[in-house]
Amino acid sequence: MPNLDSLIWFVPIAPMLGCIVCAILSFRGDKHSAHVPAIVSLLVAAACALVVLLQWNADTSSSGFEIAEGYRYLQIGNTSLSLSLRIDTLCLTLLTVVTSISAMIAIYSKGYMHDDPGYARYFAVFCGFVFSMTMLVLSHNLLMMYAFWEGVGTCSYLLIGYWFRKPSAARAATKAFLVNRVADTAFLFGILMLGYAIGHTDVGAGQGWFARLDFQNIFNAAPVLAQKHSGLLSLIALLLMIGAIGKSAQFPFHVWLPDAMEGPTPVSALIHAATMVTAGVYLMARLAPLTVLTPSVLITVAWLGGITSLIAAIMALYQDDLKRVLAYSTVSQLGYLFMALGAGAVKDLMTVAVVAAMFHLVTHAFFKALLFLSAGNVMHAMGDVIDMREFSGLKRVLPKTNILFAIGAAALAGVPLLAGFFSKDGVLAVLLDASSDTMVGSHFMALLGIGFVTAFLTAVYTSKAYFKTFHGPEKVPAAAGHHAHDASNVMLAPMAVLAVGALLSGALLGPTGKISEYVSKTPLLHHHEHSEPMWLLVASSIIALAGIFVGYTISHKPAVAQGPLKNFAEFGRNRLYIDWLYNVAIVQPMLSLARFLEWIDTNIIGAITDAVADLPRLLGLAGQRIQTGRVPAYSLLTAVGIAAVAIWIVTRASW
Amino acid sequence: MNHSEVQNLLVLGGILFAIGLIGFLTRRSLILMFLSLETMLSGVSLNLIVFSRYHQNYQGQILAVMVLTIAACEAAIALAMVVSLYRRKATLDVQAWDELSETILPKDPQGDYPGMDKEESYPKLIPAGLDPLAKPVPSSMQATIEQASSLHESKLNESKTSSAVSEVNQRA
Amino acid sequence: MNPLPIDPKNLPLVSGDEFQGNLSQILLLVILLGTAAYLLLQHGLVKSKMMAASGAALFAVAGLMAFTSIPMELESVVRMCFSILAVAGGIAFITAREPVHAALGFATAVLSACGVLFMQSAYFIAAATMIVYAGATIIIFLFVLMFAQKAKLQQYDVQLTSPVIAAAVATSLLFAIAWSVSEPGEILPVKLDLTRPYSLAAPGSAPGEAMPPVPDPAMSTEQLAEFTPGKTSGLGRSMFTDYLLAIELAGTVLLVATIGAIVLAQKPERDPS
Repeated sequence: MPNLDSLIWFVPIAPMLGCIVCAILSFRGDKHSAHVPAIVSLLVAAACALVVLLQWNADTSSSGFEIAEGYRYLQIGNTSLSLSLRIDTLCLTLLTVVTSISAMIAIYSKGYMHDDPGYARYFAVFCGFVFSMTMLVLSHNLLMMYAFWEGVGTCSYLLIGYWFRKPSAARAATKAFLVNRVADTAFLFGILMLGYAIGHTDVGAGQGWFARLDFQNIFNAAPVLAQKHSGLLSLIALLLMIGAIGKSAQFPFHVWLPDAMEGPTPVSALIHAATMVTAGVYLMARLAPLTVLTPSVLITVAWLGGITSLIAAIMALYQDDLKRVLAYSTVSQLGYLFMALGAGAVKDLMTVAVVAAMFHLVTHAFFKALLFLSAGNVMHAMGDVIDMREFSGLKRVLPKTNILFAIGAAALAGVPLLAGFFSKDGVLAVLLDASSDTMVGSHFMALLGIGFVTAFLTAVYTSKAYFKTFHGPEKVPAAAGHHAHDASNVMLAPMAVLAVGALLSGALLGPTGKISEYVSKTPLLHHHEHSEPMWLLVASSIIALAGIFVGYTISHKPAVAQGPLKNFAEFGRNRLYIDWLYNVAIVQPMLSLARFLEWIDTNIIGAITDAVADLPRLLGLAGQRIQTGRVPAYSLLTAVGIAAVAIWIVTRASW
Repeated sequence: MNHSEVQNLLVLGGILFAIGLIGFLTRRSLILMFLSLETMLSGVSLNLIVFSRYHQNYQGQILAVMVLTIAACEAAIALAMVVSLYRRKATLDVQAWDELSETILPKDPQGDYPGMDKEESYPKLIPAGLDPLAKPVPSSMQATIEQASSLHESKLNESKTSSAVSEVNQRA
Repeated sequence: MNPLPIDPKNLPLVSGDEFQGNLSQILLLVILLGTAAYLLLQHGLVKSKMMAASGAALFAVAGLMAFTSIPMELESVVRMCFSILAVAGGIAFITAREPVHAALGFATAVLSACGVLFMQSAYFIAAATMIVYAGATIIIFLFVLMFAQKAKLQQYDVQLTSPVIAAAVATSLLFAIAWSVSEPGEILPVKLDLTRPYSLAAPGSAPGEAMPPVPDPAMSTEQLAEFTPGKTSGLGRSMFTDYLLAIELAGTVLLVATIGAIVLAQKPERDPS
């Protein structure tokens, strides 16, 4: 076995070096060569991750994980801060997905971003994001994970606001950052409370803060805490969960993700579909040994996921913007993942839940990235127009993109034997298993229903978007000009790789049991035999095909404007008025408060400051007369001073 | 050396210092102000030497030597500055130099001085010949050097033309 | 680090009788002198014969008072004559209307002060002061005067800035000096700075002797008291041993000042046109 401990370090370090080189190029105003360091570094990272993934053998180490020691950079008393990486099967799975998809998208970006003025800046932040994300995945410590959690948030902010001169992009970036800030605050409080709680157990006594928050330490301490302070542990788990659903754009924090589509499309594909938004799911999976002790929180998670997946699917149905359809679809699919994780609330089902979530995460990353890149191709060809009402019937103009989009859409809709079909069934099967529980089964019965409805809606909106864009009468917007053409090969090649993933990853990993076997080697998860009933597969196939058919039939009719669905459509088009509600209930009161404080600042505090500042000016006016600029005047004053001091010195004894 | 003598001489030093101070504060001519400063310094020197004598060591005298040195430096610099100030405004009046006054104050009633509208010039070090390490020789100097060397040869040959050499020197 | 094994604490010094304060006399002297200076200033530049006469009278009274305070010995009388001459020259210097007269007054004051220095056996300083002040400075001064002085007296030659305040300030400063000098207190008549051994005075040495002897720690206090800093060679020894670095620095300052003076006194470059 090669030295995996040192090899794993290449995975974060390569993108970091790429980031530094690109940043230097960016300061030199480079517009043509910045993709080289980025792509090379990301390929190196992907290759290293893949080698470690294949070579890693959890059986060799008894504990099932290994810590790759890094650099200890601070030691104060018993608080020691060290950068180390934790390797186990769970993080290796996600790591490989992140690095390989980011490498593909970097190659795609070379074609998509060419001639952009901020070319090198784009790749610098891109590599910075991959660095933060890999470090997040590999963190051995919750506090360190939080640091890189914020790191990916920052990179996301920078990339959403990449075209920062565009007001809508700047506003979207701010919105994403602020919404995440609310959730991250809860996350931070959760971390600090967890550290505090662990410090009061036998496990954590005498440890420094940083060491207490080591994952292994958390897992050791969690049962003790659950026994003694189960209420506190539930609160902690709830706060951590808020952090997770914030980053993963779950209800009620889902509002930032659709607006984040203002960023460049490859960024949307990478960060806001495939990788960063899954960090919340990863966090919940990582902390599974802790959350399994708080079933109530897991049920909350499941319900939030269910609600999100349903409302996001409804909203996706009525969007006209192709990228926004995909964005809401992402939100909806992430809701699926959380539903699956929530099923861990049922005894002994945690491992299966994590496996199902990770499986769907992997396949979703492939086909959603593919879909976004296809949308990017459409946007590229249509002269940055992405409104589906402006174009249709593009299968002749964009033949290759048509095929790739069709593959992605089919995988998303759950066409049998494609990736989405198997992984979605995995999620539904976990919910079905959970619904047989006597205690909380009713919850999961309802969620299973939501899952079926969402699967149907997913098929509808996906096929609607596909048929509307690529079939029907050919219509090209004026902004596209006369040169609307398919993308170049450098953009199509990585998409082809992703398409292969979208076609085959489900069949290769799911039914063969590979992913289930691999992920359940993660320490503290235990392999459970678990089989999907055949009727589930059949039912979901029928649902998917029916959904596709419905989508096809409505795709070229004018929007459902009449009849009983009218109000519903209006509701969906306005995003269920959730954004409006936030605006009225939170943003406007805040703005009023800010205006009030501004008034106080200018009229009271500012006035006082001005008055204080006037005082020295008045004093100066008094002294101004003396400043004649002439030597005799100054020397006379000096002499008077010296004489006064001399007199004082000689007479001070008598005073 | 008794104490009343020391006392008298210290008072004499003080008197010289005070006279210099009065002169510096009252006189308006730059040169006289400067001489007043020298008077003050001589009062201080006297003081130092009296103490040197009284303490029976040379330290006061050494300090007096220092004072003398600085006084000489000051004389040189101050007189050079007086000359260049005079060039600028053609007056020795200390009141004429009030550029640093506050703007609200009235200007010197005497107003303009001849030469005030001249462009201000700042002193430069006198160039001390060609830099022997500078290569190539500046083109402005090239002709002069060639002329000088040819003159030197012709001088060797004919031993004359001193006027030409002086002409070259002037141009250099 | 102690080159001479003398402990200053154990050294029995010549018992200096304390300074006796004749404060009232000195104070009177000071006030008289200040008034005289003020009146003479008025004379020099306003041309009032009354004021000039009363100033001169006051000055004469002050001089007489000074004469009465000293013992009638030759040395004291000569020293007092030099002193009075120096003060008179100084007052003439600050009150003269013509700059050349002022320069003469300055020369008188400095030369008289040099006479006092001679009597304090500071021969080298006296000679150097004569050369530097009365020689070089006066010559340069006259040179500049020729360059810059107008034929007629200018306004700035006769007008003064705030003579009342200036005289008052100087008088009060002088008062402070006089007070501190007459304050009763002990000042050690012999001061041994043991870190500077060569600066100590030497006893009167035989004629033809090149260098005066260094005081020996074994000497008695009376013998030490005979050491006087009268030898120019002793000053030279002190300058080039204990104070070598300072003297070299002073020489460097002189060099820099020379260059500075050359640079400053240059004629500004003419316009090429």
